[in-house]
Amino acid sequence: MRKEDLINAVGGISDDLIREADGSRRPSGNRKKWIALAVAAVILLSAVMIVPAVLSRERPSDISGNASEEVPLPSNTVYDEFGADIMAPWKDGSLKFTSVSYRHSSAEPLPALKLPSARLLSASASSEDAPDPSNAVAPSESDISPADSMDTGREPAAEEVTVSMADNIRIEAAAGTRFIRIKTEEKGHANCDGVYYDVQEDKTICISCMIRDRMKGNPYYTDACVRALIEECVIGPEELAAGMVDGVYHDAYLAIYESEGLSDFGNGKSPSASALGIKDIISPSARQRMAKYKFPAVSIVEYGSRPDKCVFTLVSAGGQAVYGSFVYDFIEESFTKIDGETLGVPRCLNGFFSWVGDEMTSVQLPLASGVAVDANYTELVATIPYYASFMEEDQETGLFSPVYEASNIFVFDLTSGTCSAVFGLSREMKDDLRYPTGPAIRQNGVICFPAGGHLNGYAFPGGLCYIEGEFLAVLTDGVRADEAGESGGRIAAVKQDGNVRFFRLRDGAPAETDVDAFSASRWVKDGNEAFHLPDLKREKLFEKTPDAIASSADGRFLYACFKDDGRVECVDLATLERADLEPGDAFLSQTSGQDDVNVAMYVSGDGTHLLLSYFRTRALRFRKQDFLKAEYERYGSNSDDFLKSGLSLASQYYELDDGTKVSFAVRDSENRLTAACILCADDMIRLGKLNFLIPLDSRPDDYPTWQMILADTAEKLCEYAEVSGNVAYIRADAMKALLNGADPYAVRKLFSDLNTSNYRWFDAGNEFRNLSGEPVTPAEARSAVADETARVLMLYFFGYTVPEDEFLEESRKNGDQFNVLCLERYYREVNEGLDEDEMRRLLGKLKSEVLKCYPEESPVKPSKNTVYAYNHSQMFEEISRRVPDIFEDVTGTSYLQALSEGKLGNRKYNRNDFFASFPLGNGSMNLSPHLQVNKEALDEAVADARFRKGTVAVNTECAVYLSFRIILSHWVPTEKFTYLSFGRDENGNCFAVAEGGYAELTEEQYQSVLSLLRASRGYDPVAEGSAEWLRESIVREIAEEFE
Amino acid sequence: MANPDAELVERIRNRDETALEDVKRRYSAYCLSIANGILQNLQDAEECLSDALFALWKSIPPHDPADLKTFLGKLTRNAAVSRLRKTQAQRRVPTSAVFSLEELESLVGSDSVEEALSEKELSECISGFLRALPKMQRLFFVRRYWYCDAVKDIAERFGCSEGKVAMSLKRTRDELAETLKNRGYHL
Repeated sequence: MRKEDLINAVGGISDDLIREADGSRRPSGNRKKWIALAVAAVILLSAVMIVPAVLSRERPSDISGNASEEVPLPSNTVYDEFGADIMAPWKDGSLKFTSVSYRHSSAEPLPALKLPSARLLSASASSEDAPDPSNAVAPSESDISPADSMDTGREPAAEEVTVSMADNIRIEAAAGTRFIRIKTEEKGHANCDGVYYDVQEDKTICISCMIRDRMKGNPYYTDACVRALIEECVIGPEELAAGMVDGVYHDAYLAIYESEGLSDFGNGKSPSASALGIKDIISPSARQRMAKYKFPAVSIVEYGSRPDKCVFTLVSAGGQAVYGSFVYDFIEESFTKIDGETLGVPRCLNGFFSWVGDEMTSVQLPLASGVAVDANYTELVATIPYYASFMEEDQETGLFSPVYEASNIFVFDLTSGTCSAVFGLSREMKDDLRYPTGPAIRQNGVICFPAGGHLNGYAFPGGLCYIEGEFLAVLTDGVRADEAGESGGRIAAVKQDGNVRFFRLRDGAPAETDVDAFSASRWVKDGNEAFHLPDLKREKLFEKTPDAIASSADGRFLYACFKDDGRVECVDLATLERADLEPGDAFLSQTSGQDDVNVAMYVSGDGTHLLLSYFRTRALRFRKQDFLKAEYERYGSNSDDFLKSGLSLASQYYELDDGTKVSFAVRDSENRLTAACILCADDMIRLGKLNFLIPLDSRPDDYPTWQMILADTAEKLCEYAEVSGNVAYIRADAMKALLNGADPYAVRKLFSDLNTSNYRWFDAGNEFRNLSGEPVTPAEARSAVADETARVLMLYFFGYTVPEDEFLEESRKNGDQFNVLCLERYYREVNEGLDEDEMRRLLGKLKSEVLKCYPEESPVKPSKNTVYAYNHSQMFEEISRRVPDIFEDVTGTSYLQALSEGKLGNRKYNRNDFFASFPLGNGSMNLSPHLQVNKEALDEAVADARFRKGTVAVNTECAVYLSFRIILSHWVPTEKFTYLSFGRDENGNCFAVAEGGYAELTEEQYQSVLSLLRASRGYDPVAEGSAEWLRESIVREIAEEFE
Repeated sequence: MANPDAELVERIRNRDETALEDVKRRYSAYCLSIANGILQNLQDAEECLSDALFALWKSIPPHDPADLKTFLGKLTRNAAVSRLRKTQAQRRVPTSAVFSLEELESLVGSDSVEEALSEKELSECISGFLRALPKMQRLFFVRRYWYCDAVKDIAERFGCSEGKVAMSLKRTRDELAETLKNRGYHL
């Protein structure tokens, strides 16, 4: 039997058993029943207490703990036995008990009640029996009687409550219906605030002591302290609402309850701030006191205050920017920024961190979620949300910049403005706070902190783990990935109990699976160093520095690659055995460190070169050569040959039997064709064929993947064209296959991407060359392409820029016929002098070809409500006019304005970079009946794409893409979505994959996304013309070529 | 239709999507309490509820649950346990549900031998075993291993000591193991 069988079987036990257990409960566990019983108990209690009083005073006493009765107090008289400063609720003359309950059964008589420090008695009193208050002696527990304790010197009302207590205990207030706030010297509570007697639970609770206990060894007031109390169910919403907890703790509790969605009471929640995930609290009193200061359209998110100071963070009205955190001194009436600078008016402080050497020298909080200060306001602890920031070392500058995967705790010295330590924790570990006890150490881009004893905290991009032991070293690379196919990543070597153990820094798990593999005492670091156990020494692993380190295509193996005697040899870094690689074998794409760039490495077709290729999923621009050089340096290669081999990609090719030349083909382990590169650059001109990489691996069996491939292909086309500086011809049969099978919108996107970029080939003035590479006229170029479909495509590729004013006018007239207009104009230009009838015939054919891209069943048809354009500035203006807030940036500046002023990011944006195709009907991007995209989420995604990817792509495809992002982001554990796709693997298992994340999908999840696609596109992924069909047809076609 | 649950089932069978909303409205608290008890995470629990509702939608037809609430509760529990398995490796501090499942799993000596067991048959066997137990013992077991309650909570719920609950559970587990062995199951 498997363990899970037993678990599942228990889950499937009979319904009656489940129902029985569901309903079973001791009465005390059920609040309603409990209250009812309690009321009965109180009544009984009352009866027990009243009868003697009645007998002695000949006056019945109506005593009640009933829920709704408001019981007037005798008077405002201050009773000696109660102390001299009984607080407001009593003085007001009434005490409202909505319920009073006791642990014990109602059948039990009064003596069974356990009242350790205070007792509630109910009775009536008469003036004649009342002793002189001035002579009153504090009653002991034994001599309390209703008459003694309720001497008010006046005629009591019919409904009166007498409260009596033991010696040295003073009742201060009633806190709701269950708690009585008391003052007592007992058990060290002399200096405590918030001592309560819990009537229901029959015990004394001291908030001060509890928090003090939580803070032992922890000098900071953190919400973890109060959270712990809540989690222990010491404090519930009822108690909170009852005012049992007050002051800063009340605010903290309130914040936690609200942030946890446990309660909607309270009035301090800031929606804008909550959008940031900030557990915000705004103390009404503090806000009132600060109201005289004028802040620019911000919300004040306050984190704890005390009578003289408070700490708060300013958030923009839109909730999109955090201006900074401040300490406000109510006495001095001054603001102090967390870096120590005293300011008159807070200003925008949005920024990050800068480091010099190993110490942080200045601090600006990007997105602070929790801020706490120590009792003296000398140190501040800020928690940065897990998604907001983590720091990663920039290889080039040596500076740290935030990435978006973890949560940090920063400890700032408020007096000096320095950050004494930085610490991080994963989201799951928020309650497991451990604070650094020493300065940070940087090693291999990993930040390490001693955190008490032998505890080390390892902060690293991607997460944080706590590993106990004596930190020895951080190992990178050379680690065989685990069975799940995940990269091994960094490994920490830690000495524990005299033994060296290894842990994955990714999650802190022991790296046990790889230890055996490295039993030969060789751990590889940076490709050319062995890390010896147990002496932990390093030495060169290879005599020759590897030309590159590359992962296998499946990501599980890491190779050191060498060029040796004209051949490429690769060594498995896990086993140090030579890898048996065949020409054409592909390595996994490696992230270059740039968000949008992926690097792929291949063994060249003739087996003599490592080919370095890359593609970009967004429109970041830099020269290929520069990039290659950067990558070459990144990989630590000193070989010029390697660089040259990368650059010589274009000249390495197979010559097939039919004379077709391809650079290489990539096959999987079963020799199936998985990718082919049909050369580029020079060959493109020479052969007159378009070169592009078609990844035909097993995954893109669904539309989104295919779409992304097309986009990538477009990128690659452009890149190669950029290198050539010339125009490209399309290989008719390949593109025809694309057109026949691909989703028309993907094709449109492909062309749009091409047309709207500022690639050189587009700006090259449509320079045509013939098959020999000689310049030709457009007419000559046209005639060189026999296939008319290809000619149409060529026109697409070359594109045409329509003057903006004409474009708008034509668009108004013709709706979405813009592409056709382009073609028409182009045709008229290149065929100047052509007979008009012939021109009309050609145009008609062109239009019909273009419009074939819109299948009849497609729900998204060209219409007047949809404007596809690459007339950028006016398009944006139009969009901004119709949907004013869609492009509003964080400061309220219109996006267009910010765009034109180059304010968005480091890169100065060029208007021509942007392509917009946006359904303008309602601005809500209703993609399908099944998916009403939350506008806020979409905006966020758009903003994310805008800022992180360096471009704006708000078109239908992008919207779908973003929809997938939104959906899949729930499934794929990553914040990086440079690309994503989903589909089935060869075993039929569903998956979603994105950069940095991979998730298995259930069949239901998979189908839900497919249904979205179908609904939004009328797209059937299995029908002829589908991506699947297309993929197979292309595979077949290329395979036939090879045969 | 007099029975509102039967009506809901009928609506689901007729693919009335609004029925799911009604089911959710009616039983979300119940399901959330189950899922949250297992996962100790409200957000995860809510996602489990969604999973369970979707599973409900997919399972009717062919299923025709006589007791919609319990049926949905089972789906929720399954979803929560499934999610717990995925997430527990990432948790630094195991939830009580993890301990609960581990206790149950401890009955199975080896996980290596995979057998094609009939889950339904095994469930019926366990159900029969539980019915033969004294009521409190049975309640302890179901609360602990179906609802994944902490021992402390069970003790509080039934007004007895934790030791008593733990001892009862231990005894029940032993008896269950013995029963299963007698029925021919290899533990």
